[in-house]
Amino acid sequence: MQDLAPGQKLKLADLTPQRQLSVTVDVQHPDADLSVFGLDADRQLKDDRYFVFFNQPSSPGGELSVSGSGTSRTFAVKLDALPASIERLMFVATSDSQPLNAMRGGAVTLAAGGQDVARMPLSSADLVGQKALMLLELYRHSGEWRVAAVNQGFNGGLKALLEYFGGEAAPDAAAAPAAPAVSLVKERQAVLLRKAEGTPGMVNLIKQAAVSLEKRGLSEARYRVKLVLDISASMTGEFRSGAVNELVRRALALATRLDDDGQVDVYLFGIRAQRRGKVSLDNVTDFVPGLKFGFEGGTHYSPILKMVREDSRQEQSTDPVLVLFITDGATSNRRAAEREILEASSEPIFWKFMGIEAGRVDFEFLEKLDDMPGRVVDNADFFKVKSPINLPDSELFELLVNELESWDRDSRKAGLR
Amino acid sequence: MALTLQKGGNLSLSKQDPNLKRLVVGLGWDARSTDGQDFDLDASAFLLSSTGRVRSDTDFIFYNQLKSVDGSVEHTGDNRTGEGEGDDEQIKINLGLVPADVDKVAVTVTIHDADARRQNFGQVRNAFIRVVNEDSGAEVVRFDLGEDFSTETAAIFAEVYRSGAEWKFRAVGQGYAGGLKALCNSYGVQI
Repeated sequence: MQDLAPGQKLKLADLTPQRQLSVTVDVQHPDADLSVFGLDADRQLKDDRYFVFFNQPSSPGGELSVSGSGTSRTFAVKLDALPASIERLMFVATSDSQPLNAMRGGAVTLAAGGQDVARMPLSSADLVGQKALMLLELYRHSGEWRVAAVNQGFNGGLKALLEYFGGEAAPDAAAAPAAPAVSLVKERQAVLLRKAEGTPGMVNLIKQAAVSLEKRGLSEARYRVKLVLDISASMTGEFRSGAVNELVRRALALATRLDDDGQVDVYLFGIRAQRRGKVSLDNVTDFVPGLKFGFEGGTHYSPILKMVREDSRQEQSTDPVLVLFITDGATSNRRAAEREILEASSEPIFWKFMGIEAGRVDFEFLEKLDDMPGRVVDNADFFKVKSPINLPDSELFELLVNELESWDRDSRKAGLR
Repeated sequence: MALTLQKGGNLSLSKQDPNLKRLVVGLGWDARSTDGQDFDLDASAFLLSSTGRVRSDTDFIFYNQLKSVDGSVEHTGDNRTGEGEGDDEQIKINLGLVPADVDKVAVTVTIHDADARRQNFGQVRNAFIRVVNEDSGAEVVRFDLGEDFSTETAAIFAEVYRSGAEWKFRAVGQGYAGGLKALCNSYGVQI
């Protein structure tokens, strides 16, 4: 097996006669995304279906596909099946949260026929503040495939990379100060929207969600979306009727526009707080019916607020968090909940409380959130409805993202993100 | 219409442009488009005798010794980043002034501080060398070095050499590990 140094170029034929390859990228980095771009001769991404990453794990003809998880992924490449217009395959690592020199090592390994044929060790020594890194390139030259070890990148992250690859140009930057990674956001939104076609009704919900976000200038905002569901015993009816299921679908619709990975972290709480994994387009249909839990005899906000804050912090993402908090009861420990919201006001988290008003409920704590003094920014909003799924979707999404734009602005001004 | 040569190819400059007396050798490359240390590429020229070595250290023309004693070869100065269109660096050769015991002028490019910056020619894009007739402005010959390099830190781009009464141009495109020092040593210059 050959070791490759950055800058090194060689003929693929000198490594292997095979045309079916696998490229394994393994980086020891807390938050890196690994993808491959199929580019034309001018290094332009003309067809975004040849941008293969975790949310689009295969190109149209299966010429490129990705497996694995997290920061260890294997790309299967069928060179001979690629359309002639795809002349270069660039394998990249990107991270929106931390420069890639935070990596503690890693390697790109090229294998064929079950054998490793070349390996480029990755070292942060070559890097400064790059948040997007071109690792290895396979390309056609004079009728044959070649391999180049690259290990160079962009401080501007995926956005800079996409611009380099001629992805959609960012709109006038003046319109949106400190706009997030514009091109990538659109790219991912488009991918998720196509994917949503597999789930009845989802495309419509996503479009409705998009309208509400666009109205607020948040069409390319990026949030980690977390959903908190009340499982106090009084919620039984909402679960049985399918209302919760419908709310989960709507939270997911928002996430496909807002969230980097298009997944929603789900939490349950009654007396205790529990993490219940992620809902995505892959599992949304069976998610709520598949939830196993026992309804609890109390409603305590503070443990779940604390848990969500803690997780948000530990994820070490630069994207802020939007929490959709669905409850049908008042908290029995108001002081503790107040303290959590107060402390959280200096954190990049916006709390959206939805009260389901089945019967007589005292939402006084939530209703007074708007006037709660002592906060760095107004970090929460509350609305109540009798029956959320009987609202037209357009209205529901309006309520769900109401005030998000002012928090988005205020939190930036206050330097929370 | 200028001729484009492939690696190893050669061409009679005298035949291609009979009026060629003073020529400009233009060298170019793309500045890095990624983030990180700038690439600083330096062109140099070596006046070589029939043994393939310099006659003395003054035959090594580089950014600190811009002109040969006889005035036949002149480096127009260093461009530190490779930015801008066209030639990044130029070396002028007045063929009529080249001493009779100089057979060949080798034009080379090295990456400044390559080891410390962990840079090499494999990371340089769109490198080229071309010969322009200084009097007419016409491009006589061109050589694109795109795929010829890998991890080398010095490179011979081309040679302008005597062949009988003619001057010829050879597209060399040969990389060297070891940078300017190795290259100099191979031509008999001690630096």
